[in-house]
Amino acid sequence: MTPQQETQLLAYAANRAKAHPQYLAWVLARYIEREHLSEHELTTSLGISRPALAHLGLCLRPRADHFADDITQISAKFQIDPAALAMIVRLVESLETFPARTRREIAAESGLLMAARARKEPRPQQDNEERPHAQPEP
Amino acid sequence: MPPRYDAAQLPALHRRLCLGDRTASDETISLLLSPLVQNLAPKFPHIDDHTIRDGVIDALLEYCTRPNRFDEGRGIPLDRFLQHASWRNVVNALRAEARRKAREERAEHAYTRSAVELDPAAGNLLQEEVARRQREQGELLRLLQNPKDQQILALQLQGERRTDAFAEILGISHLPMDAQRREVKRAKDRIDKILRRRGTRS
Repeated sequence: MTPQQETQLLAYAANRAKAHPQYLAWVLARYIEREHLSEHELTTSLGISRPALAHLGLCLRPRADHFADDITQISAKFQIDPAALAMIVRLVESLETFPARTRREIAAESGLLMAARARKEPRPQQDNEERPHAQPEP
Repeated sequence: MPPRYDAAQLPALHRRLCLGDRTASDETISLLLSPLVQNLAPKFPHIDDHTIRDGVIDALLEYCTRPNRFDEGRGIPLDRFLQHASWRNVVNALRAEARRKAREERAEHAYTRSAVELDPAAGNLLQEEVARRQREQGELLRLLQNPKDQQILALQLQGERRTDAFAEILGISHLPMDAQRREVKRAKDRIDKILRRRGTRS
């Protein structure tokens, strides 16, 4: 297998790791999706090459209880800004905290509140409708 | 597996993974992916590369997230453990594919049969075809004056080919078989000639 084929194989593995939430590839894929970025834009913002992005994706995701240490270790290996990597991971974690279902529920609840507010306003009177407390005309 | 890497690296990588090292997974996968694929491919000569790659990658990704599933104490080297896990993944993928294909074939067969059986249009078409044929046969029979000729033509239209069936209509069943064949042929030719003359048979 040539070095180029090996690089392609690793890129393929990193792509497959996007389906595994334990890997950084999964985190980076969610971030790209959330921020509407291309992989090229991500590599530019992190200051790494495309093959290095594949290697970064094959790293395991930072643990909650060792977050700073894990971020430091990964950042040091790939020579990237730890703050930038931490921001990406935290943003994706916040999306996980409010999963799609919860977001839908929030949206649905806000819709109900809007409907309730709308019903508090008086309904417009129709022409042939009698006024509830209207006095009969003499 | 051709040792294109230093096998002494593997126990160290395994220990790092067990200790929660976040970058050891990248190093393990980078080290073993290509040799594992190359070693497994000859065992599945008729299987596409993607299935083999997926099997190896899934084995590596799974191992790195749960390294404790590999027990160093059992004396099996890590690369052989991963080789077996990859092989199992490929075999499972092939089995799943075979089951999927079998399900599809069963579903397709059932659908085709039910589509023909249940489609009301199929019954209507059949009835229309039968009615059309009956009309055409009636018109042909009306072109013949002789009742025996009509019976012979009716038998022909039903697909009858046995000489004795026609000989019975002609009343020549007592004749030798050669004579029956000759007379039956003559009667059929005569009917054919009548119909052609009236422009119904080409």
